[in-house]
Amino acid sequence: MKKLLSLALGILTAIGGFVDIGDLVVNAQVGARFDLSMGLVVAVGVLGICVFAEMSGRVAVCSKRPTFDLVRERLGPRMGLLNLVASLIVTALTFVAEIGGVALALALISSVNPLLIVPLVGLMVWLVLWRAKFSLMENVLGLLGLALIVFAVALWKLGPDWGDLGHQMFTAAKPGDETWTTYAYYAVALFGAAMTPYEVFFFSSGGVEEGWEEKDLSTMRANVFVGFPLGGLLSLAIAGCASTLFGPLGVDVASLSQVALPVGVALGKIGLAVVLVGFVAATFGAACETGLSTGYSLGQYFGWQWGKYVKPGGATRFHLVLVVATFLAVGILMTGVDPILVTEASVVGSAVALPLTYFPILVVANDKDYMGEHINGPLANALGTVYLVLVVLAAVAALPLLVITGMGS
Amino acid sequence: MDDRFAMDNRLDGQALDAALHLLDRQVIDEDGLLVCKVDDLEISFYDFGSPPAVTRILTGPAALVPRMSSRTGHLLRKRWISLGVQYADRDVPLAISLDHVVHLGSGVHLDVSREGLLDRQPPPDDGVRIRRLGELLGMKVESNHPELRGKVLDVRLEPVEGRYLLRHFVVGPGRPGSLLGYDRGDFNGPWLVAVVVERLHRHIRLASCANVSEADIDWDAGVVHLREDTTVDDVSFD
Repeated sequence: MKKLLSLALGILTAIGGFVDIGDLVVNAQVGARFDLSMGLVVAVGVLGICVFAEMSGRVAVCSKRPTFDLVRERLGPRMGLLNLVASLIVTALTFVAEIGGVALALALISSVNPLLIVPLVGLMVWLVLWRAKFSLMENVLGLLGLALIVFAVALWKLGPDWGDLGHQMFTAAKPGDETWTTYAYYAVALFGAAMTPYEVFFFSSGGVEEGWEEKDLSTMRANVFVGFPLGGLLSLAIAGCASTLFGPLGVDVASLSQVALPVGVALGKIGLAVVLVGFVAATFGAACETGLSTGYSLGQYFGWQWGKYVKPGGATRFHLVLVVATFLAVGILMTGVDPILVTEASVVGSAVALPLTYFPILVVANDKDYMGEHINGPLANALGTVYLVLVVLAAVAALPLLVITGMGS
Repeated sequence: MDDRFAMDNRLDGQALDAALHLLDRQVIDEDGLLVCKVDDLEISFYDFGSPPAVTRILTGPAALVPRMSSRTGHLLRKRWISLGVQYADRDVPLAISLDHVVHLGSGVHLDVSREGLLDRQPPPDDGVRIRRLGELLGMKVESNHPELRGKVLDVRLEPVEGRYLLRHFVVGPGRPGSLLGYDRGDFNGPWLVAVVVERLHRHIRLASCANVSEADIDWDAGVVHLREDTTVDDVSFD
């Protein structure tokens, strides 16, 4: 019974924790402009994050080594450092976007200027990173994030033509007024939003933090293969809502209030209240995860004690990095930069940085020395290779597409 | 976090490759707390008879910075020193004696606590000269043997009673991916990656270096001269 409960808890937090600011914004934008014609891209991205999260979780269980230990071991200190810098930039950018997202969501509730809320959010994030227990942080924010299921309810209430949505999704029916280059740009952005690199740092380091053993492998797999796809359905629901409401009007999504609007239209005040709770929980949870990821990757590259499984006094450099990262993020947001713009930049950056972390994981997951009997099977290797090619393609295409399309305008 | 038995102990085996199995690994103390990375390794060359051996783990910026630069690491090393010219030991890395290593798996486990553990690398005893593995890796190999072409990619060590004797050089063209381990044969990679890396590294060989003395290595020019009696072997384990 206890095992079943913990399994259910894990799956629920995986669903609630799946969506972050990047998913919220990009899915709503894509839904409004392309209807559900990119539904398959979301599906491909979700399967991709499942494949790699499972692999990195398995590597963490078997070798007790998280991602960045392996990056330095397998690529050497020089390539590893390049990788560290690129990953840190993208993760820090995502951290900025998530904190900005929390502030925007709180601003929607309180009508206070988000700039005034940002320092408070920074302080709260840092307090959680410093004080809260790892599992408590994960569970509370993950469960609250489930409030985003209200998007699925809203979509049902809005009553779209389901046959039409299905048709758009499975035939990738690009609307006539958009070009294939913008389509490709948003496809890469969606892919980057679904497969952000920090999720892999966080997932593998979290496995070490929570002391996963071989017997926890099946729980980990259930979390990944049930929780993540259901979280992916939430992404599709967000796109579906935006498509149903904004598609016919030809409105572009440029703010967080617009992402929430379909829920307000469908379910009124109550719906709006629930979706705002979901926004705050999802972005706050992701802010904690990205914040920790900056400390994880630096600590693991240089060999410092990292993690919340020791007291803060035992991992002082790690906690110092968290303080500095939070200050930096708050400072960047206080310049008045639009968090939605930062989010767009961070998902494209994620697409560029993806191969850097996925390649070493794929290599080590095949190393008998580390993995013993839990080495990659033929299916994991086939999928892993297909995705390696896909992430390399997305990484190469991302920046040229960004320039050509002028960030998709 | 006790990961002491996450992997078999390499020290119980016949041989290990310094760059592949030891360099850049995490060092963990007796309580499972993290200490540092293996940023470089100290190699001792003995004047009287004994074969060269890896003797200490080196760590800290003074060990890591030179490895970031070109093979000799002079440029970045000089910059690093110039940032703190007043420190006499700026260029001396921190060291851990390999006597403290009890288990070598996915991490390097010590039998001591991390508190106050790291001290500067001591000067060598009489009749001993010390070098770093980072200097040796990437050196050009000169030999009359037709199969030995390219650079020193790794050194194979033999753990003997707490000592790590330098037995072989892994020699091959310096192409990317030699730290992936595909070339040493203990690996079943995804087909695509394995084929590419195996093709890139098909000229890799194991050269015995039991007879190499420090004089055979030109540290400034970065060249290793292998003598006539060098034997050549396949590089894969067992």
